Amino acid sequence: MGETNVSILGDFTEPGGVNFEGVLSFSVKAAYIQKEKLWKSKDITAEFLGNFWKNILDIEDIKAKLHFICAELMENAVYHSIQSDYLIIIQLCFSSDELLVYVKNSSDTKKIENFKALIRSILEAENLQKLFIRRMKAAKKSGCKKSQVGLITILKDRGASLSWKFEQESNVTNITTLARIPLGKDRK
Amino acid sequence: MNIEGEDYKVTYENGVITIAGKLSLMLEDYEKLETFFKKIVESEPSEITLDIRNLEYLNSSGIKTMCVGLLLEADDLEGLKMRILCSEHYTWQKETVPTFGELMDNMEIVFG
Repeated sequence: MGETNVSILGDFTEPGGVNFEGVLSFSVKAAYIQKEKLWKSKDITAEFLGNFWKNILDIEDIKAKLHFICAELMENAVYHSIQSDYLIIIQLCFSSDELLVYVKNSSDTKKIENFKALIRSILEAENLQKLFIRRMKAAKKSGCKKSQVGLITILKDRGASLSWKFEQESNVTNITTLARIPLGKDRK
Repeated sequence: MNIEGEDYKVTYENGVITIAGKLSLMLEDYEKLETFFKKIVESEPSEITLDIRNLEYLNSSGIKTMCVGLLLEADDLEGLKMRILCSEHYTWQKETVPTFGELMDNMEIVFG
């Protein structure tokens, strides 16, 4: 086993560091299911998580919010996971005043620096709306197929915060993305 | 003109693009929708109505396709007016669609 280099971007908390009232988790081997089927199951899982926690928390808006956040994070996981035995894990934790969505997947270490630069540009942006518009105009100009607006939309429109943990080994890096959704005053 | 998938339907009739259902395709699968939008813009209409009142879900690749493939392309056509019909019923529309306003000069976003 080689050495693992751990780095954090944003305000990341380990699942073990919080006293949760409930946890739901789902994991699948990246290579086990065809990408198209994994894509469809991602929608079913995200919708289920939205419905499940709406029922538990009795907050109407949480359903759509969770659906979008879980689906977007899982879409990134499906796209970036390397085809091997590595797991994609989604874990949804409920503490009294917030929901924490952890999505863990593997990625090619060579791609990590570009991804970190993208994350930094989003976390450090003073105005996410302007960043969104800039990204759209740049995509039109360059013809770039990647959207790169999922993470911006989660932060800008869905009221969640995002952070990341990278566990980097020589060829493979495990990425854990955490979305924290405050429950606050909406809770009945 | 229309595109139909398992969970969604897109039609264009009498200047109205209607998108309904749940649209969460893989990025590469949005190409047919991009081509669909391109054909509409290339026909140089003076007004386009985008009716998404029954669009329950749109993933980020779909948001990008709508913004880049339709709204920004339409903004290049001088004098073209865009009207987006939205529903208060869907949270994502209330949160995200108003932010499209800066992509086009001649755009009206209507919630009903």
